[in-house]
Amino acid sequence: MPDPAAVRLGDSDLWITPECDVVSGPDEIIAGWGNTMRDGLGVRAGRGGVDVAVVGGLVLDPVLGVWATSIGISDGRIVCLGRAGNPDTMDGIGVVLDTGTAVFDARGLVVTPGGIDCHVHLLSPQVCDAGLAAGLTTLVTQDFGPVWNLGTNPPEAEAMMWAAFDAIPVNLAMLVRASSARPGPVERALAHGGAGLKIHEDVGAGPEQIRCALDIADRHDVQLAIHTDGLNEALSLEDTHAAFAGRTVHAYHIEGVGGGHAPNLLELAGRDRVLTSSTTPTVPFGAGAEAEHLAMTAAVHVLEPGTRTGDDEILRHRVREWTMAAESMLHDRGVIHMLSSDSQGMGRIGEVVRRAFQCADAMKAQDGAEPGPADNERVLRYLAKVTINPAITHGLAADVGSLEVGKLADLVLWTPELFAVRPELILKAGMPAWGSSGDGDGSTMMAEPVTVGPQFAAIGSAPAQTSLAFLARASLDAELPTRRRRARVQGCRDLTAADMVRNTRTGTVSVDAAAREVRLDGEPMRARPVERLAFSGSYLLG
Amino acid sequence: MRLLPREQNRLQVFAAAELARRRRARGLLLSQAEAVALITDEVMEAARDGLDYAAVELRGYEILSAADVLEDVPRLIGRIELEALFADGHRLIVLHDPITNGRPPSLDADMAEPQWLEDGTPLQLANTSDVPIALTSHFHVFEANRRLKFDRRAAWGLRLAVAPGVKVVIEPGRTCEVRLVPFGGARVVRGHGGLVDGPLDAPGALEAAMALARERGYEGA
Repeated sequence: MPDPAAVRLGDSDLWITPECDVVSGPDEIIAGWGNTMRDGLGVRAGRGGVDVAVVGGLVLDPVLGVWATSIGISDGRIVCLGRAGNPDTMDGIGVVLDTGTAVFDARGLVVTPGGIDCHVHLLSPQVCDAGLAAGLTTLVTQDFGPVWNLGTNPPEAEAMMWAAFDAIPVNLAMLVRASSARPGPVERALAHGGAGLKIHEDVGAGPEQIRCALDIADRHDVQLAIHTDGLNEALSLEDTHAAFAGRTVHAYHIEGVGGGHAPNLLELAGRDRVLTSSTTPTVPFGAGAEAEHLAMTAAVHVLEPGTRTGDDEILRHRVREWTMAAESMLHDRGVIHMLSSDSQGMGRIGEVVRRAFQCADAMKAQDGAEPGPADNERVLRYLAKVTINPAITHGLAADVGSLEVGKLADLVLWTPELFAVRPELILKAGMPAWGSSGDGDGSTMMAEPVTVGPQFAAIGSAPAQTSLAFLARASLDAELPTRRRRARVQGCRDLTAADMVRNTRTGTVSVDAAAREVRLDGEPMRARPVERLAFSGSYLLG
Repeated sequence: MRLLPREQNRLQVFAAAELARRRRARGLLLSQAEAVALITDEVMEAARDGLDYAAVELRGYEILSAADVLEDVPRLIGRIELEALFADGHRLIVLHDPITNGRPPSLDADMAEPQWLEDGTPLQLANTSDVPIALTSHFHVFEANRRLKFDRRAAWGLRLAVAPGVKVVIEPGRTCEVRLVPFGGARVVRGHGGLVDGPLDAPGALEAAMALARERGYEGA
């Protein structure tokens, strides 16, 4: 039975359908001439209403599910969800519109929380534009320009970045470099604007760095993101796991081509206290992935294959088609928790959200639909990987990651046809920060060429007004050159896989290099290369 | 040249359209962005060639068919808005599903009779004025234009039983039968025609509003 309410996402075979509808019906709010959004009709004068309402959309949220509902926003935070209108003349109103309420008409649009990229190398400011244009509103970052710093250090650099980001409408959480056998420099950086820790093998990922970093993480309630010892020089995989000593970490690019124990990094996936993420170029698995990564790894990590002894060998051990083929399936089973970019450092920030849904579509094509309604469960599982799960992992979930009441109103509005590719509007704290708009000299706001670019919340001092500074407790009161509201990073240390929304499966992942095979609890994990990549060639100029 | 932002935008359309033309010439089917760019560019040039508005608009529907584009593209392109420079200046052209539709939508669709959502309360309304009067779904009919003649008392607390957004237009001198349903919610009416400004169900509210309506010359009060 076809579901008449089901909405197809872009050119994919993914369909979502509302589990509940409080939009349509005889009291639907419609803006415009002679419609219901008028004083005394769907709107009331005085006696209270929300500041901002996003009316009539199909909410797609990793926690709330799929729900045709309006959203009420006051002081930049979500305060209610439900039917929008005037409770003086309409039944069942949850989002009260008064004559002072600013209304964004979301009818026909899909509304998701702003995306979170938890692995951003800020190697250029252009990274931020690309991320915003792809629906990202929160960045967990390292670096501060074209320098392979693998953290944001020292405090001078952190201060510079906070000053710069007052012009950029995204929430920012900066990881400081924790590849350090002594805590001094790390804690100093953490207390001057940091939000978490990063270990990277290019600057040291041995047992002393891991132990020292986790001691700091425990003291300050922040997360440690780790790129492990891919050379197995100081540690093998089980040694690294032993160095964690049962303490929670976030393991980056868990497939391994982004870096980490070769060839078996994937064996960290499925463990209770290892929260895992992928990076964009390997998800979903594609025919060109291996060839691209031979070129990409050498280019990014300063290798000279064919010239310098050993570079060929470590490259061949690191780039493995058969573990890439396992990764997409581990995502579909909910074993890998997050997807991130590794922007300009072996990944593409504009693809974080898109790649999540491309993977969902590819896995549906390979393994078939899951029990209904529609593809809601699968779509929500992948949405969680780029919204709520990175928020929980990095201690940001009190403020971002979903559209639950109380959170910052960072929303992305998409037309279903252009979903995951071209956002219609991005709201930061309920204000328009980025979106589609046409020629400024046009008689309508959508005269071609329609481009995706800044809106008013991206201009002047508005970004600082609409964006949060995520800070470790140690730097909450630090003197920083930002006018942003500060939000405390918290709740990072007691996390387990069970806290990862819709992606809670644990199990034994075994990597057999001789057989070139990955298994999950004995079941072979080998995805076919994606045959028809959705959200891509049907749209993009290049 | 001292190009203005609008002209730079025109060049962006051209560049994307030219990419699309070259790809098409190689036998490729066009993507969403390619198709929008090509249609936009060709329509703009039709105006540059001196065609009139109707001819330029029609041209927008003739440039690409489903056979010229990738499988999903006709569905992905809803409305294209663009502004072409005619002899009398810039004019907005709005193309509706231009790959699927062969021509612009007609304004003469037969939508005369509104669809009533429920039987409700029937009421006859006569437009005694010399202008058309349009009623909408959530307006308190009791307080509608004083030159509409009907049993005002019978319309107390009621609104049209139509879907939101529907307009019932009563031409000058004409009579129309409508269907009415009660307001929901707390039943407090503010604004509208200014006859109530308070709870519908308060004691004496109807009589006070009737008196005010008579005083202000409302037909049928």
